[in-house]
Amino acid sequence: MEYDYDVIVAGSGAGGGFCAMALAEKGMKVLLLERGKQFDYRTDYPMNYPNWELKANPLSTLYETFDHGLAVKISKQDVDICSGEFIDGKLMQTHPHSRGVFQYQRAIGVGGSTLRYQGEAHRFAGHAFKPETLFGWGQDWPLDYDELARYYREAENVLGVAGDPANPFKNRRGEYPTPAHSLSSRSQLAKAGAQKLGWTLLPNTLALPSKSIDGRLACQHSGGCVQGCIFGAKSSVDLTAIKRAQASGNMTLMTNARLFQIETNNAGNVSGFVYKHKGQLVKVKANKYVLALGAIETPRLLLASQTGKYPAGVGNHHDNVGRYFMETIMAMITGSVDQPIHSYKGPPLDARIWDFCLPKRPLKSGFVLGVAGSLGRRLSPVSYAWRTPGFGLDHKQTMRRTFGKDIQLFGIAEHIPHPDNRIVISDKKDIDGMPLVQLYSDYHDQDKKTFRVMRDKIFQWTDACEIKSKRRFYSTYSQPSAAHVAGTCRMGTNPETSVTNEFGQVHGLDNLYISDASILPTLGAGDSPSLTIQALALRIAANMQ
Amino acid sequence: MRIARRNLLVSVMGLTLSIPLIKRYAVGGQGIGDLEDSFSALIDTFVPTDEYPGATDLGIDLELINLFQENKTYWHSISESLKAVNQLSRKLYSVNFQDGSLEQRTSILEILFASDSEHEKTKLQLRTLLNRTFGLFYTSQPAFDMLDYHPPSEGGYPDYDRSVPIDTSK
Repeated sequence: MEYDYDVIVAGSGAGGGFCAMALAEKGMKVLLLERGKQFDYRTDYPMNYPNWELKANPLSTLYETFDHGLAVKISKQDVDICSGEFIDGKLMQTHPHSRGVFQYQRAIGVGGSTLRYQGEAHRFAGHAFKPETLFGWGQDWPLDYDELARYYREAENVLGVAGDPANPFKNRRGEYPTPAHSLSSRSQLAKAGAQKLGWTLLPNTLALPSKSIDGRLACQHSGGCVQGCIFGAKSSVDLTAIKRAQASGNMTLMTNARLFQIETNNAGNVSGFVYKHKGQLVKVKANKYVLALGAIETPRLLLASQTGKYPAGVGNHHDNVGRYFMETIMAMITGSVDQPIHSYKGPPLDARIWDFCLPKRPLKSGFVLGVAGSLGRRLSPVSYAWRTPGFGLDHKQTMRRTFGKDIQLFGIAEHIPHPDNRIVISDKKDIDGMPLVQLYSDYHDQDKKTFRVMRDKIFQWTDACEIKSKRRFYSTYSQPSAAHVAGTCRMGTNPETSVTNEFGQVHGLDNLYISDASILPTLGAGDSPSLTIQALALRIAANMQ
Repeated sequence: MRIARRNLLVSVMGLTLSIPLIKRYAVGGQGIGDLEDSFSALIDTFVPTDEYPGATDLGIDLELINLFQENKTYWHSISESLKAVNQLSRKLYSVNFQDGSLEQRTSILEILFASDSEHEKTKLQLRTLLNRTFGLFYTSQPAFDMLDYHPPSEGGYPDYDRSVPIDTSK
C-alpha cells in the first residue's frame, strides 16, 4: 500500500523529536504530529522582558489531564518523610493524611518538555540496566549499557553536551562535544561542604553547550532554563533534532494536532492515526506509527483506543499498559548562607554528587545529590519577596541582606516500579473528549528506606556547608511533583510482563512503536532520563525498516 | 505635586513604569478621593523609603490607583479596608493613618495582618495589595539595583562562577 508517509510520529519531545530526526535522515518520509505550537524563543518566553516574573509562562500552561480521585493515605509513622518548615532551626512536619495532588511538570509545544527542562543529559550507569540481577527488584532491561553506548554518544553530539570526561562514577566516553561548565558560586560552596564529608561533587553533564554550536549561542548562564531559554542556547529538541529533521527535507511538522485515537484493522495492526486539528478529526495513514507522548499520555491514548480487536486498549493484551508507573522521589532543603553567592546565576542544576548512585546495603536502589539554582522562579526578586515574611523596613532590609544567598540542596532517588502504581482512564473527559487519567502512585517500603537515607545525607551536607538559615524541607512524598515520570509501557522480552520489545515495538502489533519515557523499565538511580530516551529513540529508528 | 512626582518617575523609571494621568473621583463620584492619601501611606508602609527608594517614590501607589479604578466593586472594597485601617489608627494613635509615623503605621498593619476574624476581610485585602506592591516594586530597576540583581540579557552572567570566600578548614 502506498501512503504519503512511511512513518507517523506523534509527539515532538525527547523521544519523538529524535526518532523523527533519525528516520528522516535515513530517507524515510515522516509526519510529525505535535499537540502544541512552535515557540519562538526570542519573543514567546517571559524572560525576554524585565518584569518577566509577572508574566504568564506559556510553558507552564496547565492542561486538564487528571481526574484526581485516588488519594493515597500517609500513615503517622511516615510524617518524617513529609515536607516541613524550619522554625527556630527545628524542622516542623505535620501529618497531611494523604499525598497531595500530583503536579505533572511538562510543556506542550514543539520540543515537548525539553522546552522547560534544565538540560541534564545523563547516561544511566551500567548497573541501572540490571536491577533484578544485581539487587533483586524490578525487571532487567532487555538491553545493556554497551548496546546503548553508541546511541548515547550520537545523542550527545546532536545536543552538544557539556561534560567532564573524568567522572569516575560514569562509564568512560572520552571528550564531550563541549567542555564542562565551571561550577557556579553556589556549587563551589556546596563542593566545599561535600569535601568535608569525603563526597565528590562534580560538574553536571548538561545539554547546555559551553561553546557555540550549529550557529547557536553558548549557554549564557542565565538560570532561566525552566522559563524557556531566551538565547536559544539550551539544546531543546526543537532547536536540535527537529531542525535537523526539517533540514533533511523528509519531515513534515504538523502543529496544533492532537492525536486522538489509534485505529486498528482485522489483522490487529494499526490502520491509522486520528488527530484533532482546528476542531476537526483528521485520519492519516502510514506504514508505521510511533507514539512519543510521554509516560502519561501514551498509555492514556492506548487505553482510550478501545477497538474491536483490543477492547481493553491497544497493546493491552496482558493488562500491562499503564502499570509500573514511576515518579521522581525527591527531597530538598532550602536555606541561605552569609556569602553573596548570586544564587540565581549559572546553569540551574550545575553540580552533582554520584557517590550514592550505586546502592550500598541496606539499600537496594541508588540516589544522587545535587545543587539547585533556580528551580522555577523561586530565587528571583518578586517570588523571593513574596516568600519572605513581613513587610515594611524589616522586609526590605531582609531582602537586601539575604537575596541571592539562597541555596538548595536536593536528592533524587529511583522509584521502584510496582504493578499497582498505575494509570487508568476515567469516565470523565477533557475538553477534547479524551478520557482523563486516574493516577495511583505510592511509595513502598524500599522507596521509603531510600528516602530516609537520602534525607539524612542532605541534612549532613547542609550542616557541612554551614547553611545556618534553613527554611524549608520539601518532599515529593507529601507534595508529589515530577517532570521525570516513566514506566507505564515498559519494554521487555516477555509479552506477558511488558508492552514493547527492546526496539519499542508493541508486542503483537507489526507496525506500532513507542519512543518515550513510558518504555523505561526503571529510572536510572536518580539520573535524569532525557538522554536515555533520546538514545533509545535513535536505536528504535535505526532498527526500523 | 502629584504631577511633578509623575514626571520624575518617567525620568527615573524609564521603561519599567509608565504612569498615565490618574482619573480621580472617576468611579461614579464615589472614588476613594479623600482616602487617596491613606492609600499612598499604606503603599509607603509596605515598602518604605530608606537609603533606597520606596514604593511611593516609584509611583506604585498611583499605578495601583489607576489600575483599580477600572473596577468599581474592587475600588469599593479597597475603600472599606482603608476605612478600617483609619479607624484603627484613630483608636490607637488618635490620628488618621496617613498622619501617623512610619512606626505607628507599621504597628497598625502588623495588628491587622495578625488579627482574627474581626478583620479577616481587611487582612485578605491588605495581603493582596501587599503582593501587588511587591510585584511592581521588585520588577523595577531601582529595586534591581538595591538587590544587585541583573535580569538576563545577552552576554548572560559571565561572573556566575566567581569564587566566594569559603572556609574549608572547619
